[in-house]
Amino acid sequence: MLNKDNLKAALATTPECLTPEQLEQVLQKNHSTPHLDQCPRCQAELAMLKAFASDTPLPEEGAAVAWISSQLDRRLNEIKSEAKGHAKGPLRQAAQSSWIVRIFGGFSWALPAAAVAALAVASAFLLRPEKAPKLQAGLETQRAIYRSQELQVISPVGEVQQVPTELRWQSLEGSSNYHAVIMEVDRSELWAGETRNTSIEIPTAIRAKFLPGKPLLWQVTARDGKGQPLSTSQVQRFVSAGAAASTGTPTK
Amino acid sequence: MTGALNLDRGTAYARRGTFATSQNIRERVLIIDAMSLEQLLDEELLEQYRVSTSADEREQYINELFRRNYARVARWCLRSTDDRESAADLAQEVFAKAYQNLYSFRGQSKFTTWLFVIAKNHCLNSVRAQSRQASELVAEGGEDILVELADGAPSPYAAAERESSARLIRSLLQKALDDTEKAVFTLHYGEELPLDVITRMLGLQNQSGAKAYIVSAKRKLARLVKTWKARGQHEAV
Repeated sequence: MLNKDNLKAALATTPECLTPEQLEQVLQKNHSTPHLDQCPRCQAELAMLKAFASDTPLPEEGAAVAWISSQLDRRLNEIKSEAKGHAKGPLRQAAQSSWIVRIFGGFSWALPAAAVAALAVASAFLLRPEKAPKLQAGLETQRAIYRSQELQVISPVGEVQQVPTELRWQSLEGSSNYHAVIMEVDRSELWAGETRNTSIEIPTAIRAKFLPGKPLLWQVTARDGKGQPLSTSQVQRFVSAGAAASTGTPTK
Repeated sequence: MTGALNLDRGTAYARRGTFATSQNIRERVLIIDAMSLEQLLDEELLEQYRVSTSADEREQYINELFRRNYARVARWCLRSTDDRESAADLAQEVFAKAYQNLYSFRGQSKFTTWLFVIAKNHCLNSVRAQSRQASELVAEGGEDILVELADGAPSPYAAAERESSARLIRSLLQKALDDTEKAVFTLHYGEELPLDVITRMLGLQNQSGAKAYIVSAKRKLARLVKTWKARGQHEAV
């Protein structure tokens, strides 16, 4: 029976299909192969590779490409530091060892020497005569912030299966309202909202920007009745694995 | 940049046209002296990045490698999203993935081909995740092709009983469609990409883009099926 699945299967990659390396050879030498002649999948892959390899911009895309390139240049360090967190094998080793290399260079003896020096300084500090701390005048007038008063976020945190619909955090005593902000990984603000509650709904238009696998940050600040900040949460990172849930009727 | 090695520059240039295996990249890197970064091939930059013990040098090599590919990836991501902010985010993710996997590059292809695979997979996944393609297929009348193919007793459907339906469909496409139509048809029905994305991705510059190719592909396929039915050539596929 011919159905949509059969059509998809017919257009899927087969074991005989050309590898990217082979497609590159076809593109470079401008010759075909018997399989390529018969395979719509390989022809589609070749068309995409050709488009990617071409340096010819389409009309009116030049300015946008230049802007994106400048953004990439600005974010280059961020790209690398973000990637290092996920790297495996030699890259991670290189990342971990690079600061040692940068500081000590070829002086391999410097590391143990520095460790000995640090130990000596620490010993001197710990063994010094103890003195009673001075009392701080006016301490009672300052507002004490205890750890329990840190603003704690609830969700989303880390990898989440679905695109989050709201931001949630724990209530903070004395707060009048909360200011929540969602940011790109470069800390540029994507969206911000205020509420008196301990959660806030994320607008659909913003959720649509939560691409699967794309990391985002968020943070919430509690404010008192005068609008003064009482406490700000840690910046939380989250990544949604799934796509945004559809909220409307599909259109043509 | 340090790296004071003797260079047979002529040899390095002479080899440039040859296929870059991991081994000969390594050989070339060893004989390259003070060539400026711009003169190095992508694959040489990557190899230098791998072998250099200086963190600063490594930074320079990888920055140059990425910078010279910014526009290419930016263009691809822009065509996938048609929105420069989203495209910038996508491109950032592509380069992050590339950076994570730099050591998996074996030099069996050009660096750009390797980067293409990452960019393509990442962008197609993103496009698919965002599109409501299933409903689009119905709305655009994609099913009518299948009805045409399956319709009638003495038809290619009989051949599908003897051969795999996949082979049958591929054969039909091969007989009826030109290269661009096949590519558009495959990306639309096989990869479930929206037509506007295909238009941009393949750089189609005709007035109605990929839609025109889908329309002509469907027309040609219908004509082919009709001819077969008329002639009773069920075996012809």
